[in-house]
This record gives sequence, C-alpha cells and structure tokens, in this order.
Amino acid sequence: MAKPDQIQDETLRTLVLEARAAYLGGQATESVHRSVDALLRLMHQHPDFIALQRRPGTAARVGRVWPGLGVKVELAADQPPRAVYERETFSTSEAITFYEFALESVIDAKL
Amino acid sequence: MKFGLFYELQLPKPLDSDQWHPDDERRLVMETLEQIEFADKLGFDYVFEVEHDFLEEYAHSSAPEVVLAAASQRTRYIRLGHGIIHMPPVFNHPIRVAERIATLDLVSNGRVEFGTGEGGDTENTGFSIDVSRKKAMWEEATRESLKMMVQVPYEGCDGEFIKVPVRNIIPKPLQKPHPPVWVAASRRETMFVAARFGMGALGFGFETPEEAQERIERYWELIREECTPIGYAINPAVTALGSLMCCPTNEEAVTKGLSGAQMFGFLLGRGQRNYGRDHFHRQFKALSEEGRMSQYAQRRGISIVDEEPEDESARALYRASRRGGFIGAPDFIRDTLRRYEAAHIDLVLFIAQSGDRKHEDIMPSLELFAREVMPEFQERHEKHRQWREQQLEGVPHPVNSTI
Repeated sequence: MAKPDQIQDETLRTLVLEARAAYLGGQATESVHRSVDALLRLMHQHPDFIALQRRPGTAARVGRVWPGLGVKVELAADQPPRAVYERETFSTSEAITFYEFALESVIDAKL
Repeated sequence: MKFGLFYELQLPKPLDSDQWHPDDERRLVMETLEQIEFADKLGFDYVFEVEHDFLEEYAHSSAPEVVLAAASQRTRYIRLGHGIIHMPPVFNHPIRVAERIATLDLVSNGRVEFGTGEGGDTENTGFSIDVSRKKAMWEEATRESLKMMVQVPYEGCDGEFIKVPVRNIIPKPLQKPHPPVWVAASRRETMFVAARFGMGALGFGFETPEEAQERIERYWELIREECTPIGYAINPAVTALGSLMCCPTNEEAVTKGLSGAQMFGFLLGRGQRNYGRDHFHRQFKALSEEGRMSQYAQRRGISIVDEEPEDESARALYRASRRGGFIGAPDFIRDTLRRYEAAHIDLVLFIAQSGDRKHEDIMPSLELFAREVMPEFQERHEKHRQWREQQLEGVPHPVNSTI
C-alpha cells in the first residue's frame, strides 16, 4: 500500500507530503503544483519512466501515462522537463488524481 | 460478495451487410430486457447499464434511463444501476440528472444506483467538451445533482460550469437522502478519489484479485481517514468486472463465450474513424480466420495482435473483457470468485452480452451460474457484511450502501 514515508528521496517526499496537506486543506491548485513538481523531478532523473502519451500499436502492458488534466510537460534537449499549466485553478478530484499518480510513480521508481 | 450484470448493448454489424438489419437494435434491446428479467428471478443483485454515444458496434446504449425504466417494470428486486451517467453538463445537465434519477427511483420502488462518470474522449469531443476539464465538470455536476435531490429548495449554484438559481428540483427520489452514488474508476487514481468522496468505485481496471486486494485495503483506509462525502451519505463499495460464460464444461464455455470476450476487447480498442461506414465485425473475423489468434492466446483469452486502447479507462475495460476467469465450467469460475472474495470485493459485475454471443447461450449461462456457483457466496455474504462493519467503525458519515 503506497504511503509517502516509503519515499526515500527527501525532496520528493517533502513535495508529495505538501501535495497531500494542500488538498486536505482545500488548496487543490497548490496540491496539483506540488505533485507536478515531484513528477518533473522524477522525470528528470528517469526520463522514460512516465509516458506523456500511450504508444499506439503495442500489446505491451500499461506503462505510466501522464494524467493530462490541463497540465502538459515540455521536453527539451539538455533541459529539465517543464510543466505548462493550461489554466490557473484545479478541482479537488484533479488534485487527488495528481497526488495519487505522483505517489505511486515515485514509489514504483524506488526513489 | 454480490453479483450483477453489466450491459453495453453490443451489436456487431452482420457479416452479410454493411449496416445492421432493420430489426437488429430492437431485438438487442428486447433480449437485454429478457435477460435482466431472468437475472432478477435467478437472484442476481444488480444490473448496471452504460451510457455511450457514437460507439458503433461497441455500445448501442445511449439512453440507459429508458432501458432501466423498462427493466423496472419487468423486475422486482434487482437493483438498477447507471454504469455510468456522463456528468459533464453539456451531456446531461445536473437538473435533468436529478429529475431522471428521482423518477427512475419512483417507478422502480427505490432500486436505483446512481453511477457517475466523465465520459470517454470520443464522446466528450462529439459534444464539443474540452476533455481536459471533464474531471472537474464531473465533480461539480455530481455534487450539485446530489444537492438537488435533497435540498428543499435547492440553494442554487454559481459554479465554474453550472449556474442555477434557487429552485426546488422535483420529484425527489424515494431512497433517502438519495440513491447510493458511484463513480467509474478504471484509472487507479479514481478509485482513491472515490474513497475520499465516499463513493462506490465501479472498478474496471483490476488485473488480478491480488491487485484488487491491495487497492481495496487503501480504499477502506481512505474511507476511514480522509472521507469528505460528495453527497449526504456514503456508499463504500468496490466492484470488479469480468466476462461471463458459464457452461457445463470449460470447452463449451470457450466455444460459446471466448469470441464474444475477444470481440469486446477488439471493439473497445478500435476507435471510430469512419462513422457510419466502419465494419469492425468483419475486421475481427478476418483477424480470427487468418489464425492470428494463436492457440495459446485463445486458451488465455488474449489476442496477441490487438492493440490496447490509448485511453486508460478504455484500456481497463479492454483488459476486463479479455480475462478468462469467468469463462468456463462452474468449478473454474468458482475458483476465481473465491480469490476475489478473499480480496474483499463487494460486487462482481459480469459482462454476459458481448460481441457475437447468442441470447440463447447467455440465458442458460446465467441459470447455470445462479444455480451452481452463486449460492455459496450468498450464504457467506453476511460474513462479508460484518467485515464491512468493522471497516466502518468510527466513520462519522451516514451509510446508504446496498451491498
């Protein structure tokens, strides 16, 4: 069962905990930003761990696919991944979705 | 553990024609009603019907409230569930959702299960909905629709997607404060959204009972620790979904049921490119006849050439249709169900009607399952109910689950 205290990387653990505290405190947008920050850090360390979109034509098992939900990721050579927020505010369900995705991804990456 | 049926109203095009025959859709709906009526008599607890638009051959169920209302008059006990209603307001304004849910609850003598969801991308774009906002739309519309079912008068809303002045939405549902509420949870994360909002999770994404158990433990932990209900009562419940064909022998079940399960997955993964012109049934048959479904794949219920859908929700449903755990003789099905029972699944929903399966094969399959598999799980359900009570100890919210 995924829990933030399973995250070994201190910065990632802090970001995930902050994301959780934010949605619990009614700060959904702040929560999304913290979760996205964690995911970008993960993607910088492990560029292939999260797919930005599913590759068609494969019968492979599911990989991790970016949730979308109004946040895009820009990749540029020799640059860390960058988030592009398509809007200013997010809902509680979107915050929880990003939080859960970040939590599971970081734990699965064994960070 | 309880059992139900799950309907897409799948209708492959006939191989001898480019379009359906004139009577095909009427026959499909009437056979569906006959199956639901039979399931009610056999003791199945639930039937859920989807809402889909534009998905030719895959789902001809675009007005489930009509079919469920018809089913209500042919049944007495079976719960009637939306699996799910598309909640973005352009699809279904929350006022109309509240009105229809309440009316269905009245005509069915209080048997509605209020399943909610965002809708797939093909459908959302068909209604010109920004798919990046569909989750936020679902959340706002579901919350307001539940208020409309309860408040006298409804306080009104000046939300991001919905603006409604003060009005009394009538009629009110028979079930108080409102019918049990669910959310389609094919994405792993959505199951945990469901727990935090006190909603049942119509789980379409489980791979194995063991994976289900891990998610269920977390689901109930969140119910206890972080639940802020989206409505006025909570419906803590988790479902699993699989394709059912129960026959006296495994071989007969595979002969009568596997193709339908494979076609379910094939139809789900196709996407719609030439509306009104595609013939997916012919494409599926061509793949089968070319022998590209290997002996191994046929035994496992897996096609080695099919693409998994890109959309995660669709992919989850695709996998549910492929798993062969409920295609077999009673002993085979029982063994799989015991593993789900051990994982504390509340409700297993079966896709009985799918692809090219015949109505005359579905009916005896339902009967054999009900006679030889279901009873032991019904007898043990009280034990499961006690387990649920333990999970709910200390939870301060009213519970209106029908599990």
